[in-house]
Amino acid sequence: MFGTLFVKECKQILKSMVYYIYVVVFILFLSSQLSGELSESMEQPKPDQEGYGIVNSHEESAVMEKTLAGLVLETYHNSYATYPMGFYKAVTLNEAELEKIESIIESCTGKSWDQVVGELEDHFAKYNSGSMEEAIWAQTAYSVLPKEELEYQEFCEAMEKVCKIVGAGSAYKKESLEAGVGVPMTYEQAVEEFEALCNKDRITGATARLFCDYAGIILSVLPIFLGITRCLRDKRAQAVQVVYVHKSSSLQIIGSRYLANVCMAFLPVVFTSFIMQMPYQYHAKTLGVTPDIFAFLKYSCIWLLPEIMVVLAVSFLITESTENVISIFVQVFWAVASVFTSVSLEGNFGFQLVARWNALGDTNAFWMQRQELFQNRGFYFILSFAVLGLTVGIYEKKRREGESLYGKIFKGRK
Amino acid sequence: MERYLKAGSSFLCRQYAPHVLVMFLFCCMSGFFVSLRNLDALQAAKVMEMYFAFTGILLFTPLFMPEQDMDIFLLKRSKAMPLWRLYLIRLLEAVTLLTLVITVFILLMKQGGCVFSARNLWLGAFAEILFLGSIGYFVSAVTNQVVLGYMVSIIYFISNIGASKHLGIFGLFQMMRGEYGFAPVMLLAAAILAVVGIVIREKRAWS
Repeated sequence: MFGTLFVKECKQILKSMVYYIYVVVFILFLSSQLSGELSESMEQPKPDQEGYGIVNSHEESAVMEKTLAGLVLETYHNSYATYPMGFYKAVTLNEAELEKIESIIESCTGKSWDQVVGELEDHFAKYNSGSMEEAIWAQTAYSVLPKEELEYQEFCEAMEKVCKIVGAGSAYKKESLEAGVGVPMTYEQAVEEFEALCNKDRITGATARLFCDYAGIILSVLPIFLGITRCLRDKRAQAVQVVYVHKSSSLQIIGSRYLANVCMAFLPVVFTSFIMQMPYQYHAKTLGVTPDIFAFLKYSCIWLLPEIMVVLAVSFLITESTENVISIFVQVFWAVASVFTSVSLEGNFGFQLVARWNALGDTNAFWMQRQELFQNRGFYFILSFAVLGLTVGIYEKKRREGESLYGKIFKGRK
Repeated sequence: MERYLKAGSSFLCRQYAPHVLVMFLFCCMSGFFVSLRNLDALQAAKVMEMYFAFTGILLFTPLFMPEQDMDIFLLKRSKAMPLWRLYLIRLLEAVTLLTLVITVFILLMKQGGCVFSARNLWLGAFAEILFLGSIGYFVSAVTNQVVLGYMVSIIYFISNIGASKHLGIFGLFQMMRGEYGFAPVMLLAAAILAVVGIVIREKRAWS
């Protein structure tokens, strides 16, 4: 019975316009984000290269230099990035507030604001601002030296003052300073990183992570529509009562629907990842590395499948409970919140719905955080079953009593 | 006139209220996510285009929602008032609410010491939000599925984050680049989508 229902559900999904939009948008999104140019950034580092990327540092001198550089840049543009509720919020200051910040910079650097701005403009003039690559190098290489007698404690107190002026959630709060700063990578560090990319990731592993990073963003939204469409289909077709009296149990009905949706939602992911891995397999061979041909499949199953499962399970639960489209607002908000509340674009997985690793490589850093990712995905995998169980319970209740859950409250007032 | 007022208030109270409530909640939460003070013209445009654009999706997409149910659709069709008038009333309600939201937030930004041309921003924001909303409105009119309306309009918004330039005059976020010439074209496109949407629904009534 379950198998028959599952096949029927799959056929129903294949007749749905929502599913085709899902497939097209997913493929377009991924192909626009993952281009073939990625192969060029996986070359062996050379000693005379202009830059090798960024590495995180907790050294007090580096923290002071880079934090001051960020503060000078934000003050120069009068636009401060803050995350008061986890979401990005650009803060613009008035003249009086700007003057206070400028005096803090002057006291930390021992130079006048005009002098600091002069040095900033001279630094960026050396790079071609029209080129994205050079703009990144310019940003990476820019740092502002604090005055020699400035103690770290004194610097932290100055940054606290900046926080009070700029508002909550800025880059100058204590937690941000403790998280370290990005400093340019040395040649030796770059070589070590490249070796890890070849030996641990076998090239395809690194690209699979980037694939999962982008796919995870869009998969936090798209399956919502599949779930809602399925749950509202019976109502639209006025077949609710017919299904209610069907001999199959609620677990079989909801379970087959859910499983069919999960499989059909995961199918384009597997297909796209299989197609997209091909150029990277070839690139790995040109570097003399044996590629891991199952890397895309392994990463997709661990990284993306639990996400699809939980998004679908929650949309099933909310839609079965409310019988309307409120799930769209709730879950789009959840997805957007998850994307914007990420402390960084690499790691810090916590309990984020969208697990981010927006970097090609950083293999050693990823392997150190791998356990955290497994815990995160494991949590959502189990949560999806718990939510599905709840949905089955609600469906069973509706089936027995022939009512929507909330309709009874008003009925009781008669 | 009384009939029209009754039809409008009935829709507002019975079907539209939850959507309006979500929209107001969304606007009330803006303080947590966007700053409304000391912004220049480009930053003010960013707030309008990146945050308040969602009000268009919330207000316009569910306008055909009650008639998704065939029984209600047939009942409404049998009434003396033509369906197009009913839809026009709902459209007017949504446009009024949108006007209110844009005006209030532009006034709040002005009070917050922002420097921008209120006329340009109002017109640009109105055209863009109306256009985005009319996409959801049109799709739900054609497919008779409000879910598809939300899906297409949200995807259109997301795709504009990376591909706005490739969509030419119909690309969103143009005010953030200091361009305002799109407003008349988008207003016209929104009007066409709204009229065609109503005509499709009306034709459906006679099929």
